[in-house]
Amino acid sequence: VAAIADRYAIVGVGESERSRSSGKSTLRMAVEASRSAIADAGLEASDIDCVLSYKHSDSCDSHMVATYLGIRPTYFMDAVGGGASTEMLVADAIGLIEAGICETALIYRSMNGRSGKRMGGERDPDLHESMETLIPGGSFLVPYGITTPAQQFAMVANRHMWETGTTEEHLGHVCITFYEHAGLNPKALLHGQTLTMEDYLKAPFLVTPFRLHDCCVETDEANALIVTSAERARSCARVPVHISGVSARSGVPHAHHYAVRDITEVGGHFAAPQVFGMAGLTPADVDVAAFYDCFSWVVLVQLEAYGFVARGDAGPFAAEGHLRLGGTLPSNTAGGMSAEGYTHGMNNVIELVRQLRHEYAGTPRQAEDCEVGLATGWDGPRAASALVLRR
Amino acid sequence: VGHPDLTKPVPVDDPDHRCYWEAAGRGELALQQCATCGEFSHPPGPGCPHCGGAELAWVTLGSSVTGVVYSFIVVQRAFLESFADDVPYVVALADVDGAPGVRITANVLGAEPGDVSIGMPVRMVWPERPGGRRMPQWSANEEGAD
Repeated sequence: VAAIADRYAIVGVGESERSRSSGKSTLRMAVEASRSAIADAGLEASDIDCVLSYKHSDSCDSHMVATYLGIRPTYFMDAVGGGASTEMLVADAIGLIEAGICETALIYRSMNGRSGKRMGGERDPDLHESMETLIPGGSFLVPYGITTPAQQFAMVANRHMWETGTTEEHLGHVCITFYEHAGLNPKALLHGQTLTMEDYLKAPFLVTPFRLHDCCVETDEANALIVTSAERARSCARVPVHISGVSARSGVPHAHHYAVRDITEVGGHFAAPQVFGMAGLTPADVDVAAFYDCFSWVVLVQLEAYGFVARGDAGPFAAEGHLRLGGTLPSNTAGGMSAEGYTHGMNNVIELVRQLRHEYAGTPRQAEDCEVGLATGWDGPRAASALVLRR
Repeated sequence: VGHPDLTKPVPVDDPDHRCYWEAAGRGELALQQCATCGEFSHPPGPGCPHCGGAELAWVTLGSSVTGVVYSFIVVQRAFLESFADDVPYVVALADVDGAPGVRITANVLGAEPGDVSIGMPVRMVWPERPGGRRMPQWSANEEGAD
């Protein structure tokens, strides 16, 4: 595995416009995001020979995206990896390039997540069907009224919080921090929206322990990034961000997470030694982070799973401001899925790349002197993916 | 606001799960047990998640089943219309007494959300839903665990 470390890089990132109502097809947004990432890398569309996507909800086909970029892919694939897809597809791209199947991979995620197919934000008549069939053991949950990811993960959050003493204020601190970061990002959906602890605690519960602000935003947007070898990266336009460690997609010992003996043990507990082991680094080496944040609590459990803090210390860690820009571990610095946008985590990875390039140098948004970053993906508590990136 | 004619989702018909739901229709709990390692497993499936064993037997625990709440949620906002009249409702994950390693997810019936807690003893019941379907449910067990 050490042979792979730092031999591949993310060389381009891009996105479409972000809104609550795009008025565009997911195909058009995917093509726009892809063109943006290709231009960012200083490449031509014809340099791309591999197209990979996370295709769930209303996303579009990777062969279609290639078609409208005017290229013929040597390899294309639409995967369903949930919130662990971005890091997984980066790992897949490395494997494909390493095997000589392709040279430069475009990875995208496109969704009209607010105006089109929503993930659970309203009473979607199709949702219980997809929960029953997509979630392992789903038909032992849905008939009892666990019909959304919020409800499904809340069961794990409540047990974790009961065991560790994590409080609702601790969750609030995660939200407040990421809303503050969105305040520095004019492209964040909730840019300019401040959040106080009083506001947070006043909002009604959707399902205990999750209130309104604990749940990520829903947006219409596409994101894209480009992976190629470190050699090719040297001739690209930007400072290459090297991939030092990968955990492609690690699962807990049972696909139906509630059947795991300790349900507070999540995918990240298994991904962490893999991703840090490959990179030859430890959590103490990480300067800036992008934690999957579909719900605020998910950030806290990952801080513990990836070894940044001891079990039970994540809540106080967030409350002490460590996740803020200027803190010891600036995280989700564009506002995260909590307040920037929601593409199942790809927007968080794009922001991490930009931080490691020092694109915000001289502004309050720049995480100072950052060289090493961690991005995590979460496909529910049962599976995780992760990348250690290095400038 | 929910509509009275809206029925709640029922379990998808899966041949691997059928014995479990058929037993529920009789007001009994049936579980899979591995012939190789002896462990129970739930949800049921085509192999043993503990040892990979291929031979599994169905064992009935009868109609007197108790458990202890391991975790629970209180749903304040329903995302399916058919649950809209039920909010706030409780879904609990409870360890089944006498079947080590087995936890079953079900509603806690007849309890106010504020009365449900981790560690609370519960008893399994199999009420009929509109449409005649019977499913395992939990109810507060006033007598404590057996």
